[in-house]
Amino acid sequence: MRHEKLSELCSIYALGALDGEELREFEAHLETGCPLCGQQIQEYSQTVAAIPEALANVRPSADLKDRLMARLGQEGPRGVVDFKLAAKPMSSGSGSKRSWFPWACAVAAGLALTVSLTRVSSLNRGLAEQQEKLNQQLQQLKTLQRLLSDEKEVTQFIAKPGVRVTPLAGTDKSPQAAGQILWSAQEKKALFYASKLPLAPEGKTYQLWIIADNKPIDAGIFPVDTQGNGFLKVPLLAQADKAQKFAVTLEPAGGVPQPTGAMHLLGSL
Amino acid sequence: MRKVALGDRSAFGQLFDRYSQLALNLAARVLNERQEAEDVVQEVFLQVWRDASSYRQERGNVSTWIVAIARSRAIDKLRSRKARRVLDPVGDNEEMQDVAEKLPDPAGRPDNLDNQLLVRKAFGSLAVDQRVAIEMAYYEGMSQSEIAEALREPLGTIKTRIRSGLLKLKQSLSSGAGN
Repeated sequence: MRHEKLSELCSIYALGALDGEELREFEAHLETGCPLCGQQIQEYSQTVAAIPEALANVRPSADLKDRLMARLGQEGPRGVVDFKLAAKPMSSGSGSKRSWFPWACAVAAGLALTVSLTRVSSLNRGLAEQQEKLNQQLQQLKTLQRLLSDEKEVTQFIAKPGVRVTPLAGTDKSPQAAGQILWSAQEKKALFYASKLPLAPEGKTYQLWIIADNKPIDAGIFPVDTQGNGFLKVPLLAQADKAQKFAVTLEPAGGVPQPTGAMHLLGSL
Repeated sequence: MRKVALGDRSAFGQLFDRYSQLALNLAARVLNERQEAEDVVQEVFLQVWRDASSYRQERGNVSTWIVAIARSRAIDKLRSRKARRVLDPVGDNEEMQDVAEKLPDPAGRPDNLDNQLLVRKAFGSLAVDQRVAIEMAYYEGMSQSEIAEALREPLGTIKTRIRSGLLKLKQSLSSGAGN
């Protein structure tokens, strides 16, 4: 299939409606790393993600959040149910002719079970706390692994010949902010870091621009964390060979085709 | 998200406050049943809690990520119960009107109403057949071929409707957001 025909499928693919042979052929094309289709899919994905914004609000149950937060603590210790099932049913002592005996046995067994269940409940709470700590540590480990993987990628990228580093300085909108872009026209790739950017207001996002031939090219949107750090991997388009400047602006959520908002970072070659 | 990835419950609570309404609206639209939609929201945020460390900001913002999970989960549930319902245009579903109530803007989403109006206006600018095709794909999880079969239209017609509808939607949202 010709590229023109394939690129017409980007929007249908972003909607998740492509199927059959077309889907297989299109995905095979994407695996070639076509930057034009990649860009179109990114843009259409943002459009598609906006669709549910049109929906009217459905009132949630008052305890929806509480139920969820309670479930967080129950993530691991499914043994709770097993412990209770392990408590054996009581024998009624039905062979005895003394009428009080079965009742006394039942009361005694009931008390014993209550004490036992209380202890089991206490053990379960302890287990739940331990499990949650373990889950948190596993999450920290995953995060550290990902950061390590990112670091490794950066290290390998920097080591490649032809990688250039361009610093970006904060404008008067964010004088304390700074950024750096590592880019390689040969690799058709760039890694961008920002620090000390103000947190983007709700409904806004930061967007990176590559300015080539005095025209801004959208290089993608990125969030910043509470420390103002942002990171973005950018597949460079052919025009990036002529890059003159890099800039970051604050734009409506989802990004825009052309810059409209205030500039927060700027760097020149 | 980094705090959530490190197991910070307070940050997770804030994330829930910010995005749960959007996820609930979406799940309720797909499933047309509030209790099931709330179940989906719980599953979505449990997944967010578990997978926060695998979230990659360069692949899209948090909202897009959560919406994608919510859509996928809701459609899975819809498919599992094999109940397909006839689509109504956005906001015209009588059954959903019973459970849909206009609320004060949820905490953390002060611009929600602006977004709603912007996207509704953009959707309203589409031809009805374009909107129906897009909604069948988005909310019902139907492929282009399934939509063509359901509507008894040629596949090429459906593809054109989706393509032209999404192009117009993209342009309307871009110009609307820039205002």
